[in-house]
Amino acid sequence: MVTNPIDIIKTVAVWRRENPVTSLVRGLVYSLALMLVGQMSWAQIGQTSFHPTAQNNNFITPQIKSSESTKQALTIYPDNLALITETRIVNLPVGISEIIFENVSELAIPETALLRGFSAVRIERNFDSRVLGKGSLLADHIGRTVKLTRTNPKTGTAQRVQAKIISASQKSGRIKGVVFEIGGRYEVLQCSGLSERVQFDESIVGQNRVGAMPTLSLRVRAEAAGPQTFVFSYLAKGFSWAADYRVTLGLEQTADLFGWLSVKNGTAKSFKDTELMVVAGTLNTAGALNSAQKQSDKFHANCWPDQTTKTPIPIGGNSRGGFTSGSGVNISSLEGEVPAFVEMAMDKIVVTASRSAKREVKQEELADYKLYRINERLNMEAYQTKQIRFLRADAIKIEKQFRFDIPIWDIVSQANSINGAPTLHRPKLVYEINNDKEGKLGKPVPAGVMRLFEKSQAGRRLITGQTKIVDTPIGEDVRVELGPSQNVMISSSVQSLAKEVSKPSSNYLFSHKIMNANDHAVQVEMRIPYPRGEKRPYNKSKKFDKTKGPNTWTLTIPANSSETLEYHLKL
Amino acid sequence: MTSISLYSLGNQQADDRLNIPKPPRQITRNQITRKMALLLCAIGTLTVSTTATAQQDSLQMTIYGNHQALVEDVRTINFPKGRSSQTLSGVSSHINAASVGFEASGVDIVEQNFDYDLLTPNKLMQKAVGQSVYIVRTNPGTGVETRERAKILAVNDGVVVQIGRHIEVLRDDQIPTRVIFDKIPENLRAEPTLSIQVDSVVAGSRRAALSYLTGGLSWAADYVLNFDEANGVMDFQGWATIKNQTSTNFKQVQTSLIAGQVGEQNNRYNQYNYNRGKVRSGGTESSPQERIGDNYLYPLKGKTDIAAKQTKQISFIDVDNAKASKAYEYEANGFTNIDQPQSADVRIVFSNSAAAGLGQALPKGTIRVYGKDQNGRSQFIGQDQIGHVAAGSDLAIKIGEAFDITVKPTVIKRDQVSKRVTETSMKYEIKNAKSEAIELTIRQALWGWRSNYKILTESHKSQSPNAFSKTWTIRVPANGKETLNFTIREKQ
Repeated sequence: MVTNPIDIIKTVAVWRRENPVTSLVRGLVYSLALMLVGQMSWAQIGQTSFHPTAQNNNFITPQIKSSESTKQALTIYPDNLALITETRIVNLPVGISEIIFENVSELAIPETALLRGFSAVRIERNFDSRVLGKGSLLADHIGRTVKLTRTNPKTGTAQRVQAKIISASQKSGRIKGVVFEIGGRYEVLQCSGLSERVQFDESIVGQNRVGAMPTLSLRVRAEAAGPQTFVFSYLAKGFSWAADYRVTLGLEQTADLFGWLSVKNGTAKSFKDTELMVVAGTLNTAGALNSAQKQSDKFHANCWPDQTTKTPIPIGGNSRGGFTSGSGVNISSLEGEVPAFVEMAMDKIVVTASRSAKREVKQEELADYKLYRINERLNMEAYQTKQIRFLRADAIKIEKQFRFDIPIWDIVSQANSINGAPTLHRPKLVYEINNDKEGKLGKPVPAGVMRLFEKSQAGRRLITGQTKIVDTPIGEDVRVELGPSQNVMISSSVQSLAKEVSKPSSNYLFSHKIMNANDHAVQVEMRIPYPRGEKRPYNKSKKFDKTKGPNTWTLTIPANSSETLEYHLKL
Repeated sequence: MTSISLYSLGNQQADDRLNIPKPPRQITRNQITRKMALLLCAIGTLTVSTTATAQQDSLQMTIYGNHQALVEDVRTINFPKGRSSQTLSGVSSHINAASVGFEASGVDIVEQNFDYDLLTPNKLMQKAVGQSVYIVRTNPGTGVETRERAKILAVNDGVVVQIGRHIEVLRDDQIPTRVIFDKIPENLRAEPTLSIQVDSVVAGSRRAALSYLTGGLSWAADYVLNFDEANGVMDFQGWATIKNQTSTNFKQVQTSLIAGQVGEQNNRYNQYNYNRGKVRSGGTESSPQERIGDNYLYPLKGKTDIAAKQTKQISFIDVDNAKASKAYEYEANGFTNIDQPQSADVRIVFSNSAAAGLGQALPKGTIRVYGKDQNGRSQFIGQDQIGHVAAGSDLAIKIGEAFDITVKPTVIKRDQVSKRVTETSMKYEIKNAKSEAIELTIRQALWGWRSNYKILTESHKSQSPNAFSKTWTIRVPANGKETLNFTIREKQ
């Protein structure tokens, strides 16, 4: 079914242009037509406009401001994205009015805005991303008269003149200086070195819908007066979340695991009493996802050259706009190394955990992702990072082992350069956490940073490793790959198998001596990785462990001793 | 008609060079005109100046997807007999001046200028070279102001002025100094202005058609796909998003959108195929829209205002309950071991054929997919980008990766049978942690120039969509796993 919302717009547009008195009769006719499409589905708004500059309207429309949501929901995605859903109740008069939804995220992506059905007829939607600032004040006063005050630096006398702004030329989103007309002559703003102050009339602020935050505004036509519920949603940048895990190793290959959600609001918008959800998984974001630029019309004095025969004079403070983006908070800092405060915050939350015992994070399925819903409403303040425990499992099974991918060609080249001396390598330390459905964990584990702790003899919990993990479903082991081992070393050497010099051979004997300096036995997985090893090793001193994959040996090295692995290989 | 020749001008014009200031300031324009008129009266009546802002009859705009638009602006102008200068304000700040066409009966164009010199303090000073200004210095010790007449000699490395018989650099002493200009040069404007010198055979009011190409205006489609997985359907809405990045307010515009690539044949940067991997079979159905050249034209009914820096959205597709399904895919490039199990791609599969419910071509844009959570709330579940897609095509857009479906490729064996023959045994372990059975398609890309491939053994039946790939569709039980094994011979 292809409907024709464009027709409706046409109707409304014509109506708007007419004299309001003559259009009254016509309006009745159109209202019938409009009622017919009153049941349009939720995204059919007909015409949507997001524009940072205010338009002149032919007649005055009542403006209703709405700054508070009755309900808010925030769904945060891992990579700098959130879906914001707001419900607001507005008391509408009969006829055409303009509703101004204030406090919309300044990093909203305008083209993603969706609106759910309500009984008033929507005419036009605007997203005003312009905010109040020096530049926007000046730009809005082109052709108007302002008060220019200059204060004499010595006598302190304030000289006040009426000045008409005749130019505040814009280029690339900047005001390139201001030219005034004062008493029939022309002067410019802030190029004289004098203290200059511009005063604007207070009425301008309300008129141009320029506020501290961007607004979403809607022109509607209501058949009856009364409260209306508006639900709108939009995607916005500036939000992020990350998972942090704390694994405390216990006895006999067990550990306790805590998972924390660090949810970050990197925007200037605060959310009170909001539903909070996070989505784990990898979403495709190919295509347009650009947040609206917060339009502050930065001011640049754009003066004439100010070089002198002495040192150059900086045009103090006026050469740059004072605006810094609200997105200045580095969202990426949540990834990778989580700053130390996370550790501190964790302990703090643990202490208060008993008080907020009711707060829980419930995991549910959303398409092919995992959605974590916080069971109670909470406040999410501007530029705030919040941490919520979402995962806890005690006595999980954890297997420690060492893994070594044998670097055949590295061994050969080192043997060549160090005169046959054995080469030393350190295997990687890998922990594998069992995540079978029947196991103690048995839960989806979203990607994040995992930190391993061990208790020292003095009973202190010390961090022994930290690494990133990937999204891990149930049934898949969580692999925690740490750095090279300190106490397990592998010494490798290579010998030619040629019996005589006259009969060169490309067969070599490789031997690896694995030395364990620990006071307990360790498991080491040795592997010849593909694709280099197209020739298969033969005359092996030990058989492959087929359960661990191709070309892999598993060796158990007793405490404080060593083992040697040997095989022949054709290079 | 001039507009026809404009198509050939290509799209390189759409740049930011002509990024010009905020719109009209009536006062300035009138003053300039008044001054010009006075000046001209004094000289004689060789040229008469008028402004052509009086009446704009119609404004039509055709917006293309590649940051350009064709503007056709019809105005009624009262031409005097003989030569006159017409100032046409309210043109796009991103106008491609070389593309301007101006037509009126009995009128010849003598010369045309596009003035985009902005009125800024710096420009004001530069244009004042050779002229006199007042400077007002405030003595920092006494606070006394001294007003002097100064002649601007040069504005390069500092402003060099002549005061009486001395030459000095403005504000060399760092003493606060105001500069007061007597006038504003005529060619400095607060808005982009096109001025045309014409020669008219007769005097009188006539319609003049101005047409030009402009950058800074573009459109793309934004689609909302509300996916109902349980019922295998979707609600699909298409929105045309027009972005006006110019600083010009266009009022009462009759707007058309062109879907397709116009004038991009020679631009290699536009050859990228956004449909790669997403359009599974091309369509052969016509879309109901009007065709122009090889493209579709989307006329917007009625007139709209397109304000400066505005983003406007107009609905052009709205379909409920069209068929849609989900598919899992895994693409394997070459034969490799990957220790960490890999997530399978999630795709939404649908057709824009008439039979499936859409029956419309889809212009280039972004499809955003929403699904319902357990509380019935709509949640964003991923997006993908498409190029222009003809009606009747089969699409499979990628929305993300499945958390619960993983594939772990392992090379079991790789034997060099002879110098040119290699046999590889692969194992793909598929795990499904979902509580329902799924079907996963594994696509094995076979990258081998001048190689032939033959499957020797396989655990599941393969298909060969082309010479360089094999696909297997494998059913994996709920909370279960399945393994694909095959041995393939490669002969070079």
